[in-house]
This record gives sequence, C-alpha cells and structure tokens, in this order.
Amino acid sequence: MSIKNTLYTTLFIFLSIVVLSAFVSNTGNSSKVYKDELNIHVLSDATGLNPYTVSDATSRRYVIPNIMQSMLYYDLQTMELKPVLAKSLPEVKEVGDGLEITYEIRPEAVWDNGTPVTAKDVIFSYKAILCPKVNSDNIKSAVDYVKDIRTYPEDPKKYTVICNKNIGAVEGTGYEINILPEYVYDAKGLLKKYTITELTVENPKCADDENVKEFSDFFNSQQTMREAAFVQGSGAYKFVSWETGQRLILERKKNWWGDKINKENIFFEAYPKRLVYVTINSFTTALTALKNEKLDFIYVTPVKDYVDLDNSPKFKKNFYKVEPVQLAYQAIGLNHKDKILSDVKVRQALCYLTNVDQMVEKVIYNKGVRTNSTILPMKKNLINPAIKPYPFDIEKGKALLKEAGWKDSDGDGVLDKIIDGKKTDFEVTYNYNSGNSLREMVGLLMQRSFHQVGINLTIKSLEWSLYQDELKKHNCQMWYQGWVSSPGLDDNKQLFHTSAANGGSNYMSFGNAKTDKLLDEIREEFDVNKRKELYYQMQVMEHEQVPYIFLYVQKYRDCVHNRFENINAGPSAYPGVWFAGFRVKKGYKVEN
Amino acid sequence: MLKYIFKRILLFIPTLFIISLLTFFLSTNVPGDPVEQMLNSNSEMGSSAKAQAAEKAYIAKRKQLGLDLPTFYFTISNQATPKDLYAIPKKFHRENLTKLIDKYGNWNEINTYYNSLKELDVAIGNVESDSVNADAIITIKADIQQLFVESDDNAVQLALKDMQTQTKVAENLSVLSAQITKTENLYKEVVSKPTVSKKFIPAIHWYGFRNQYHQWITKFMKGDFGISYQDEKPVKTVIWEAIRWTVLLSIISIFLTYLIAIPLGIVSAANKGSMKDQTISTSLFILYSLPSFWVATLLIMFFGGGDFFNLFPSFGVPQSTENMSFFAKFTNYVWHLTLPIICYTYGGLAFISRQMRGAMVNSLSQDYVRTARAKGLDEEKVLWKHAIKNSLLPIITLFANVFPLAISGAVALELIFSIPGMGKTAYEALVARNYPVVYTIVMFSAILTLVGYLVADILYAVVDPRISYNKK
Repeated sequence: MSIKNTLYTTLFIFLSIVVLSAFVSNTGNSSKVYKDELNIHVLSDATGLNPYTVSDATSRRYVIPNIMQSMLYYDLQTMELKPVLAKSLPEVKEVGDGLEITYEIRPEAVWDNGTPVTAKDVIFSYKAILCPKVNSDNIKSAVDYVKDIRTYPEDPKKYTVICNKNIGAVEGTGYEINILPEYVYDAKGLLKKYTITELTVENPKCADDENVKEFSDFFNSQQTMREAAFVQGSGAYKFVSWETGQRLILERKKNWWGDKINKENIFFEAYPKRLVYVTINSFTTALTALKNEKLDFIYVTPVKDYVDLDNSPKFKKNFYKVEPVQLAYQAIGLNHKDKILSDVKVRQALCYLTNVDQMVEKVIYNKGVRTNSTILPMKKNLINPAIKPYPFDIEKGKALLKEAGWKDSDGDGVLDKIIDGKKTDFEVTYNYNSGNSLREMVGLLMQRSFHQVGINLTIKSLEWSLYQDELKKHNCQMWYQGWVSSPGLDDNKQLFHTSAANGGSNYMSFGNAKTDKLLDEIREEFDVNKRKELYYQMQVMEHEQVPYIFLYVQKYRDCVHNRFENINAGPSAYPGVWFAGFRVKKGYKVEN
Repeated sequence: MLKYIFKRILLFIPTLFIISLLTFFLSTNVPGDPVEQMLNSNSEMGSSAKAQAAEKAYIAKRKQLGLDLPTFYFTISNQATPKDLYAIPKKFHRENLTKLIDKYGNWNEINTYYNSLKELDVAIGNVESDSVNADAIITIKADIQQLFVESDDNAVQLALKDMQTQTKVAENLSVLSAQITKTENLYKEVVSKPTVSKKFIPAIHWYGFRNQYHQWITKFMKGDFGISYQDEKPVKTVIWEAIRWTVLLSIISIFLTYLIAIPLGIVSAANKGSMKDQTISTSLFILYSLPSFWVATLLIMFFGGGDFFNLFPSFGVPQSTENMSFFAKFTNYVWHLTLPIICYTYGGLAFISRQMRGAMVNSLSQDYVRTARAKGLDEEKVLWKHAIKNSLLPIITLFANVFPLAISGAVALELIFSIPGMGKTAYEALVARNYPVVYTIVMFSAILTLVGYLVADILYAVVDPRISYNKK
C-alpha cells in the first residue's frame, strides 16, 4: 500500500497548498489604500540605463528621461522647447557659415552630491559621446556637426556650442543630449586630456590612447548600464533596483534641486514616490493585470484589444482612456525605379485607388487621423492649405492609368502595357513584416480596390530582418512604412534626398535636383517665414511625385488609473504622457 | 560498465563538434545582419530625423564583434571564388559579386570591374554640382548604386549606357566619360572571357586560426560565452538569470506529471477496457490536444483577476522580499507559479500515463502476478506491490528525455506568463540575432540531451540486470 499512499498523500498536500496560497496571498487586495507608486507597463524590458549606448524605446523614452535631464525638453502639447537644465532658451547666433548657440545652466541645478551642474559636465558629456571607442553610434549623429564648445571662466554655468549651420542644431544640442555628471562617469578625468575638436576629426589620434581605452571600457560596461552607483543624473528620480525581465524601480529623490524651481513647467513636477516599470510580454496578460489594478498605465498597441476594453466593467470602473495623437505617420512606399511604378501617373492613380478613410475606420478603428505629407496634422501652421488629399476615386484612377498607357488588351481582366518591348501585366507586390496584422489589413484593403480596376496586388509578409534587407536593397515595389518624426523642425534629408538612396532611408529612390535643393535649403533656413515657404514647396513635391501614399497618424491608446490626474497628454513624448507629473486625485487614499 | 561510460563520453566530443558547426553555420547564413541590428534599434518605426549608421560606424562595429574575420578554418569552394571575398565589408556588394562569379567565373576581371566602379563612385562624388548638371549627377549616382547590386546583363548594360548619355548633359561631367568607358570595357571583359569551367573545379582555401569559429569555440571551452549583443551583459549572467526559473518550473512540473500520470495509468490498466479506463484515456487525450498557449491565455483571463475570478496573479514570478517569513515566501511562490505549472504539466500526462498503462497491462499478464493472485493476495496488493515495480522500468528511463526540455523552457508559456526564463531569453536572442546567447543556449541543450541519453542508457542497465553494455 505504501506507493499508493505516498502518491495520493503528496497529491493532496499539493492541492491544498495551492488553494491555501490563493487565499493567503490574495488578502488585502480589496482594501482601497494605494501604494504611492505608478506601475507602468512595458512590453519589453529596458536594455540598460546609459543614455548614450542604449537604443531601445523602453530605456530611452520610458525610463531615462526621469533620471537624466537635457538642457531643453519639448512641451507635450505645444511642442515648443522648454528650458529644463537651461535657465532659458539658448541664444542662437549665425556667425559666418556656422552657428553659435549659447546656453546658461540654471543656478539651482546640482548633482546628487551637492556640486553644481556646470559647463564642465556638458563638455564631458559631449566628449563621452564623441569618444571613438564608446558605443554611442545611436546618438553620435546628434552631435556630428558640433565643432567645439567655448566656456566662460567668469561663469562656469555658461557655454557656447560652435557648430555648422543646421536647423536641427538646437534640438541636437539642447534636447537629444542628456547631461551626465563628470565626477561619476569619469572620476579619474581620463578624457580631460583631449579637446572636443581633437575628438571630432576623422580618425582621431587618441583612439589608441590608454586613457581613452580605459574610459570606453568602463563606459560601455554593465556598470553604467545597471549599477545604481553609476547610473546618475540630475532628474527627479534615482534608479534603485531592477529584476531583469520583471520590474525596474525608480525612486523620487528627497532633496531634488528641481523642487526650488516652483513648477515653472511640467518637467519640474514629480509626484509618485516610485515609478515601477513592469515587463509583461503578452498583451492579453497585461490587460488582465490592468483590470486587476496591478498596472496603472498601459499603452495598448493592438487597436482591437484597446477598443474591446470598453466591454469590461472592471476596466470602466477603475480606468480612463487618453488618446493623444502620435508624432509618427504611416505610409505605403513606392519604388520609383520599378518599371511599372516609375511612371508618376501610375503612382498618382494608386493614390486615387487607395481608400485611406476606410483604412482609418476599419484598420485603426478611427484611432487616428489622415495625413497628406510628412508634415503632420498637429503642425498646422506649416501645412500647405493648397494641398488636398487624394480622394478615393476609382474613375479618376482608371483615367490616369489609361493616360499612362495601361489597358486590358487581352481581356484577361488584368491591365497590361508594352514596356521595353515586352507585354507586361500590372502586377505589383506589397511587403510588410510578418506578424503585424494591421499592416496586413492595409494590404488586403488595397488589394480589393486595386482589383476593381484590373491591378493584381500580391501581399507578401517577410520576417523583420528580411523585410529590412529587401528595403535596403531597393528590392520592394510597395511596402508599409512607419516613421517617427521630431516635435521640432522637420528635416527629411534622410528620407527624400537622393544621397539617402544609398545607405539612407530613401528606399523609394525618390528625388531629383529640385527636391534635393529644397531639402538642403530647408536644413539651413533660419527665417521662419522663408522656411515655411520651403516646406510648402516640398509638400507640393511630395503630393505630385508621390514618394509615399500617405495614410494616417495614429493616436496613442493609453489607459490610466482613475486615481491619477495631471498626466499631460500630448504628442511630443513617447507614449504621449509625462509619467513624473502623474498626481493622485483628492479622495484617494495613498500609503505613506 | 565504466569502460562503456567512458567510451560514450568520448563520443560526445565529435557529436558536440558537429552540433557546434551546424549551429554556427546555420546562424551565419540566416538573413539579417547583427551589426545593423546593433546600430539601429530593433523597432518597427525608424526615426526619420536621425542619420542611419554610417559606413564607417558599420565597419568599426563589424570589427569589434569579430565579424570581419573568415568564418571557418577553411572553405571548400571552387577555383572561381577568391579566398578573401569575406573581406568586402558591404554585404550587398559581396552578394552581388558572388552572383557575378557564379555567372562568369572570372574573379580577376570581375574584381577590376568592381574596383573601377568604386573609382567611379569616388569620381562622381568630386564633381561640383550646379543647376545644369544636378539631375544628371543624381541619375549617375543612382546608376552606380544599382550597378553595385546588379548582376543581370541587360540591366547592367542599360545602366552603363544611361551613365554615358548623362555625361553629355554638362561640360564638367565629361571628365567622367573616360572612367565610364573604362568600366564599360571592363564589364565587357567580364562577359566576353568567362571561365565558367573554373566553377566546377573545387578549391580549398585555408585561413588559419584567425577565424570566427575558432575564436568562439576556444572561448566557449574556457567557459567564456561572450557578451550579449542586446544589453552588453556577459552571456553567463544572462543564462544564469534565466535558467533558475525554467529549471524550477520544469522540476516541479515533471514531478507533478509523474505524480498524477502514474496512478492514472495504473487505474486504467487495472480496469482495462472498462468505462473508467475509457474516461481516463479520453480525457487525457483531450488535454493533450489542447494547445498550451491557448489554455494559458484562458487561465489568465479567467483566474488572473481580470473580468472573472481573482484567484491568482496574472503574470510574472514572485518578487524577492527579504523580510518575508518562510511560510509567506513559500505561499507566494506557489501562488505565482500555479497557473504556469498547470500549463507545463497537463500536456505530458497523456504520454506518461499511456506508457504506465502499457507497462502495467504487460506486467499484469505475467506469471508472477498470477502466482500472487493465486496465493490469495487482494487486488490492491497485487497492483501496488508486485506489478508496479516491474512496470516502473520504462517510466524511469523516460525521465532522461525530459532533461534537455528542462533547460530549454517553453517559449510560448514563458512569453504569456512573463516568466524571465530560458525560453523567453532564447526567443528574444533569436529575434535580435544575438548570436552569443543563441549559441550558448543551443550548445547547452545539446550537451544536456547527450547527457540525458547517457543517463537513460545507464539507468536501463541499473534497473534491469539483464541489460549489459560489456561485450562478453
């Protein structure tokens, strides 16, 4: 009997433990005293907390802005630059064919050890980025036009960046670069020996220097990525703990210098005692956890799941939705070197044949707005009023195709034309990355409307890196493209300039001398009105030449727990809110 | 016996070597470029404002990762393919040159043509752009870029001809004309002097020990698994952090599977053909056929505190808190791990209980069971004391097969429950082309599989004296 008894007893013990645990561990869930923390959902864990060497959105957009600060941040709603570490907006002077941008750091700004934030720290930060062996490739482009930094012996908090003429210079020097404390990241002063100019030249001599090697070994190491002693900045929060793949915790500093600024702007408001970033890889799981109040904030990327949340009573009781418009647009890329699509009339016809309004309704459930160009709808004053979006008009599309010489000569229902002496059927392929059902839906809707005029559209899904490879080889005819754009000044050289067809993102091989000239001029035009005029002209080109069939700008699909207010929803921070500003409403009990 | 074990362990070496070769070459041949992935974040949205990784950065990174070395000690290819093709940094160029070699087989000519094209690329970059020639320059540049990746004869001819016409547009472009003609002639050489036959003569190129495989495998043997590309952590740490959870879950679930499946198998066997047997078998097979990711999702939705019952946490593993009592810690673990363990466990029940049932049915027809019954023992005793011992043999050996599963983890379940285990780590590493992590996980699974089989074979001999591995 012994084996049988042992088996059954063990089984019984197991079951009772499970039942017991469910009750023991669940007690206390119903009481309505909340912890003083904000639980933020992230889909994938952060990779590290060194602002210069990481590249993923979780680290860069969710976590780091609360620990480290830049001179300027973009206001979430107005998208204007606001001074953060800087006392005021910088003074920009055109000197010869270059620029001089002068910043003054706030007198109150201090690091955690009480020493002031000075121009020395700024210079160190630039050097760390420029240092040849540091893995800062993701951010190097933000400073590659910087030539030198001038300091002022009488005022250690003032400095002038000397750089090439470029409308992105203020954004690059003010917003993109988080300033790091020199005493933490370079305690030995290893980079002191070199000037910025020495580091910016091609193949700097210092690359083989022992000091530079020692510094970059340390700076690239795990220590600056995840050791609290070496993850420090002037922000309101400090990094305290991190369980890989589970949760990362930041804690509000008790004596933060920013408290003296008296809420000049939202970036000086920081309420939750802890910011907890919870990694959950599956949205089904995350939404269950949300309904169970284990999460306070989530950005729901699958639109259908987001819409369906309204059916959940638990969700409706405890949460509300916010939908700031994203600073990102979606479009269909067209290959201008393709023998069918090289004809501009064909490309325009495809615009008439794409029912964008239907896509907005069926694919993204009206959680977005249509866009006509790379200048997004929220930048109203830069949008050329003369440009009207292509309406969905099958007849117009047909007429344009006919003008371009396409007709169904053999009566097989597919348009054809003689190209290079060969009869060619109108057959094109649309690529998207596999697993993205939204992009697939867009393809299916296009396929259906194209079919009505005799165009065969094949939909092809490719694994992400294959999809990227094909784009870089310019092997695609049509493809789905999403771009994030800047809250600041738009510079599309990387997308539309012909030089970007090789190595850049001009996968369309779009462009001619005129568009190249426009793009170059926009880059260097500092006069607001003249620049606006140039943007207008570029929009005309985008509209007529059709590098993309522009689709829509999506909205963030954020859910916030009812106890929070002051979330500052707006387009210019990812994911559309400013976490530190979340304030508990009156009437909710919070544990001290 | 010892001799046998020793021989088996020696056999591990060539087996592991072959597995390491397979993993290595499969991963170097998949599309996607780890260098690109590291330079540009793996998000679906690019940032239009930022410059893509410059070629310089690309080459530097490639060198840093050691990917600029030849892949193996030698290559077996053909006489047409040059030894140092790997040294060309641009992947697309390399691919196109390979295509040209396949087509014409004359590397010398192809190489001079390629170099001339590169010279042309430099030359066009030096031409001052003005209002007259701007469009022509753009076209020529595009043509050159196309030629770098074009192997189709017609298309190459067209592009070359197109460039030549473009040079006539402006005065200062005529300087290019000579270089273009040179390139055209070199291309004609390529086409007119094919040595396709060379392609069929095999050639072995020896690269020595400075190669990617050698560097990786020697470090691996020393226990240095490299640095994870994704977050610069040592692979050792990455794996150690992940393996704890996977092993914990696997051990509990394997234990539970046996605990439940063995009695079920015995009960079915004892009541062979009855209603009881059929019900057990049918329900186990139904369970077996339910995909675990689906069950996991359902369990979370119903018991994870969503719109239905709030009994278990919906995600994650227990947090480490130091001031918890042992009991509280323990219940916290059980509370968190119950749902995942149910999903890990139920699928294996059918297999083990069928094995148990088969073995038991077999035992019950044996003479000694009849003897036991004949001497008047009640059925309980016959089953649980006499028959069971012999039926457990196949079950014990099955145990060895779960070894590798125990560390590789279940990808879907770990992703759904947000358990930072091996399955999730392996999946994320694969997607990001994080080779150091992928290699290490595959090698460890391989080693454990081999160990598992060895243990199984030894167990056979231990539990059944009739099996012997020594030659008599």
